[in-house]
Amino acid sequence: MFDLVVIGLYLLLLVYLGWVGYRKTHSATDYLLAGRKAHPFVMAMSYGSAFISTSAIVGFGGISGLFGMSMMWLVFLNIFMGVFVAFIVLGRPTRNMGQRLDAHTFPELLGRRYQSRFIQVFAGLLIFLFIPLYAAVVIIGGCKFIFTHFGIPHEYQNWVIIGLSLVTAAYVVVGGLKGGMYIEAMQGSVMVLGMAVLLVFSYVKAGGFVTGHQNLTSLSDMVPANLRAIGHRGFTAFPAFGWGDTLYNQWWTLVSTFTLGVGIGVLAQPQLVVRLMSVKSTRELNRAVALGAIFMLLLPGTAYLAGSMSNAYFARHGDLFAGPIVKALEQPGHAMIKADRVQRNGQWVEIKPRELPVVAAASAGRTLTPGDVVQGRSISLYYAPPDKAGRPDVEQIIPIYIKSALPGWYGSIFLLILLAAAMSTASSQFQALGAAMSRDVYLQLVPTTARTLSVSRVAMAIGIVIAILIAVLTKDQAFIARATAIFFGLCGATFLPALIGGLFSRRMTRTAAIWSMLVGFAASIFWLLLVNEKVAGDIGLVQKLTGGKTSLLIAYPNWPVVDPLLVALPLSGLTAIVVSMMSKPLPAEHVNRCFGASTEPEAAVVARQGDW
Amino acid sequence: MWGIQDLSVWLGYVLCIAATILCVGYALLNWNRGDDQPR
Repeated sequence: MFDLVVIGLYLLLLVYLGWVGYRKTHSATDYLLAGRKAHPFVMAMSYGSAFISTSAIVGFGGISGLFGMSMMWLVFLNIFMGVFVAFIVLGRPTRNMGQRLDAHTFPELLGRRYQSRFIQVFAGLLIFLFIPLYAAVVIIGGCKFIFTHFGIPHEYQNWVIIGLSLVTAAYVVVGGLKGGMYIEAMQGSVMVLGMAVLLVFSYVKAGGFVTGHQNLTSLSDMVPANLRAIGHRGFTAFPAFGWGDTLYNQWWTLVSTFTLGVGIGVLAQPQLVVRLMSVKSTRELNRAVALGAIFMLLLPGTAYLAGSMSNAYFARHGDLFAGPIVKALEQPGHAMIKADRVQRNGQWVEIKPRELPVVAAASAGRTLTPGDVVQGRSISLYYAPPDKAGRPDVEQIIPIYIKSALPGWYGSIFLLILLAAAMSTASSQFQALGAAMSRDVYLQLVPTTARTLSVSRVAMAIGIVIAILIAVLTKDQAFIARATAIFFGLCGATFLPALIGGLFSRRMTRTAAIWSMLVGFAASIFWLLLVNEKVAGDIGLVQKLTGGKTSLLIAYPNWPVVDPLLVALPLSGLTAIVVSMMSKPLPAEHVNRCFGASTEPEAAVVARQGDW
Repeated sequence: MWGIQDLSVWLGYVLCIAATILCVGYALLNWNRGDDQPR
């Protein structure tokens, strides 16, 4: 009942803020850029909540439950790159150049900077085609907690996905960026307060700040064998570093995919760049930096700490497993057992026998001998409900941790946090894809008198349907974190050199920008389809081409786990530099105008849209 | 350090806090600075 009241109040507030946004939306600038007058609080919270989704909380939080506190490096990059560099180093010139060129979207900014309709259309198409995948996993992330919290049977889960998507779509389609940002500011506030509570609880339940870390450290001998084989050395340790052996796979996955892929890729996220363009002046960006950083520390920071510390919680307070000892582990009182029953709500329940590590209860001073039957508690992974294939679902670690460790009322708050996180990011994605398909693709290619707003709403509706279909078809697979990293990496490799070159270099040419985007995109897609084992293996093309191998480089560790960004971004960056040296620069007057030194009227500059 | 086994993990944690302080400090020092209109 409390859940329904909380959700009901939240939805009422959503409707109100969406309606306010709708009433204040009168033009394309209002719809796409919140009138270029967003308040720093609104902008910072909207940016943060658009960036941090259920991917971060449930997806990456679950990964932290598996990998441990080494994921805090991603939080550092989220703060330093995602806020400080994004707002101050890139945000200022983005905002100023965006206003000079009257750009309303990220592709339009690039297109007008380089006087190239091709760039605008290509970027718009990329966004429209790939953002539904990211949106789908964000929606799934929110729904997974709803499934667990309410015990939704599998046959009704698709309706939850459809419902959440449609509610989000309603206020985005109607309210535009203004409505979206007001709502995201509210959602961001809910997220910050709720996660602050989770942070405190997580440390209390783990035994305290230093003691909690020590408890987590002591579980290093309980890391599953398959993770130990790829370099996992414990929950407060970095994985083993090196090259040329599968023993270093975890290091390369952690650093290249989860840390750099997202940490660098954030700088070229279209739905985030547009928020930098929405503020009235650079003074608002300076002010927003403080709140943005605190948001990042409390949101992903808490999620990854909670994920990691959940191991210490379950090892002390989780349900008891029982079974005969297979072997004693390194730490006193730790053993691998063949568990055949678990105690739930005071009752012993039989389970399919499985080997798992435990902290044996009442084992002080006792020698753990193989064959003896003991009871004990394990790490988070073994408490996560299984996926369809019967393997523990990493993305259930955070939901099951919240359900087990925190008071019942917090479950309702966390539900709200996840709803807020999912809807805020999904709304920013829907808005970006609507803008991309309408203003950046359709209105560039089709001679029409249709208004941006009308076309954008239709385009958004199409993109949302695609996102819902993807979510429905893939909800039983655990790939939220990976799909997020794919999208971030793809945008980073494709757009970052053109963006940075465009903002800071007068010498960057149109030809260089086009080629760097094409090279970045092609290299990323090649790597995803044929080399990165996890993604290529799931897609299946590489197996058909190689007679069953899951990567073209399967025989060469650690290439199959290296993220596309590490290969594609240097290639696209190099392309930008080399081609700029060999191609004709843009007209000096246009470049001066972009950088704020022209005497030519703005309308003349904007009207001169370049050729293919 | 703080019960954390690995220096590099501890460093990552500390850098999170340091980066936040940097951002808050920067914002406070530049609270009223910035262009109203691009030139």
